[in-house]
Amino acid sequence: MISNSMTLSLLNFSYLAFGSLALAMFSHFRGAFDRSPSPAQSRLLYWFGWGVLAVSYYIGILYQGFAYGSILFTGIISLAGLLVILTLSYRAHHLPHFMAGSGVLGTLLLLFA
Amino acid sequence: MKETFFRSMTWLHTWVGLLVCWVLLLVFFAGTVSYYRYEISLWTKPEIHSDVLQAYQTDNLVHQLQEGQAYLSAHAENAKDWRINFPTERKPYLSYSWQTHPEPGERRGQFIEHIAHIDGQDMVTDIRGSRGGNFFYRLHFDLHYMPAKIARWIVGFCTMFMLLALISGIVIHKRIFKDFFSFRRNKGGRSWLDAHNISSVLALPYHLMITYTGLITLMLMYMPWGVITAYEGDARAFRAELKPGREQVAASGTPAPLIQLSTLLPAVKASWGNTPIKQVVISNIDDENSRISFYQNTQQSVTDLRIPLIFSGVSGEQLSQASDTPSAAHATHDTLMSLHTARFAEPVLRLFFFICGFMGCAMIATGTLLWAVKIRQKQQKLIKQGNKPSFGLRLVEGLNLTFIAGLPLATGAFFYANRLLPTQMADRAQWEVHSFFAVIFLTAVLAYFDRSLTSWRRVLGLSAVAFMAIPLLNWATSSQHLFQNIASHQWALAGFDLLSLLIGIALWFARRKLAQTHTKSSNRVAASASRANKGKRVPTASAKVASDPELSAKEGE
Repeated sequence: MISNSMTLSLLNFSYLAFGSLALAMFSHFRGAFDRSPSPAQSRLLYWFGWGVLAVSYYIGILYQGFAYGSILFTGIISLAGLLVILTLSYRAHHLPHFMAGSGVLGTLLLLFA
Repeated sequence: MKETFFRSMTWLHTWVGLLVCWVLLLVFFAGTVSYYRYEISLWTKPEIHSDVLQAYQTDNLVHQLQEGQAYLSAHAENAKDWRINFPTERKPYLSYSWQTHPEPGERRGQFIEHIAHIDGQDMVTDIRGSRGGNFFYRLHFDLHYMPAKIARWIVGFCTMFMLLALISGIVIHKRIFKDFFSFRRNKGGRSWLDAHNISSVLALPYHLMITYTGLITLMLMYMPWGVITAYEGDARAFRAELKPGREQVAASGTPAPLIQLSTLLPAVKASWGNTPIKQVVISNIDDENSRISFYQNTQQSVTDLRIPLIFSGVSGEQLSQASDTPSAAHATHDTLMSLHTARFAEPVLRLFFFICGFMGCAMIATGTLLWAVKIRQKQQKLIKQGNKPSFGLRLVEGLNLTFIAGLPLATGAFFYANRLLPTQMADRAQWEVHSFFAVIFLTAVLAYFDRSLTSWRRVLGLSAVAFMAIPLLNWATSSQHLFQNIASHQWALAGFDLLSLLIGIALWFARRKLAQTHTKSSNRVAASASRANKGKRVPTASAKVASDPELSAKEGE
């Protein structure tokens, strides 16, 4: 049986990852912080986003096997992306806060899963 | 053809998408709902909501098999086959069912299912006639009111178009990564385009998978030539080789007593260990050639194969092996099929599939809404001069209202019909289905006369109220209400009510959003009151376009 806290943890990490990828973009960074990102910041956010995404996929496969884990992960990132878009559209300034929260929550859920 | 690759792809995407989008929406919608096929079926049978639902019990198998065999031989002596269905996660009840021999002129016999009470005393036999979730499952590829074969060709044709639209859509979406997270609100056509892009791109892996595997499910019907050539037209030989377990053995005519089913359990356990058994099928009952097939609950493995363990019903000799590994081609086909049907998905993953399916519906709906918005913008001048919108635009707007707003309402009507029609009514199951289509038809009539935002608001508002009231409907017409279901951990039933409530609230928000747009655009109409446009009809599209910053600024003042 699948553990729901594990899935939730992966959802939180995917949210964090997609949030970083969004913030790596000029316009979304401006939308959230009201200032422009430096190129270094952009690059850092970009690779951090991809890194977190890759690690969560790996965790997903580890605990659910390659077939089931891949399918589950695809579903998770679709929802996470949607949540990031909704945040950007309605609460752009809070995106960094939500990302910090999801990072913490994701780690806690992973540790106590 | 258009002069450049990009433009011809855009042309292809627009017209291929628009031509079939309403059938596609119906198919996609029905498919998405079908992820909860068994849960819906359970909800539509309130007779079994109490004292019936139970989990699989490994220790009780012997007893349940013996009871089942005794019950079936007492009640279904002359049946074509017997089935004993053990509780699974999605069908949490024990049932004994059988199929009668077909009457002359019928293709299949009648299917009868009796469901056991938890305490093992008497059975539930008088369950209302309803197709439940199976209606949506069949609607997904067989449509309705037409022969299945024609419907499957129509659906296949539309699916092929969808695949074309998806691929051409990827090609023409130049800013697929740049606009990945962009949703610009209240920008008229721009917002619809963003919503279309988001619903397509975010769930793109799902869309591609589901469309492609959808074609795979019926590939032998659409492209039978390979099999025809290889097997020299003998489709039966092909099927026998593909699924040896399904091969029907004819009855010999010599009577022979059936062994006790429970005596086979040790042999099943030797092959499968403690894997739960889903079903036992007994065919050619009390004949020398009788067969007993055990099917296992495949749980979370990504497979759709039903590989049975087959025993002789007379000697108990095992006739098939558990470890028949399928060939690579067979395994690939099986994986693609199971990805489409998602039978392996436990509740959380099932929810993700449902959300992705919902995004697919949103993709189709926003696509055709976008087309209508754009065309209306193009014709704006003419319409302001008092001309009627073109026939194409009126048709598209009418169909949009009928299908986009009508489908949720029709689904609600189906559930209400299930609970409110008299239980002993003749052709009851069919009337539930009729009520579904009647509501779509009524919405179409409404759309014929009035395609304004007011109509949208009315239909959406009605569906919102209908869905929000479903927990109340369930409370009034079933023995178990929502809180009892939560207390007794019946998550399928509780989930049905909660999801309906959620969908109702979402529809209500959609309605409110339209109401806001409506007031804004009437302000504008009032401002230009001398125009030929009398403001009686507030058109869908221009109202959307009207919600521009200029007006919001005015309201802010």
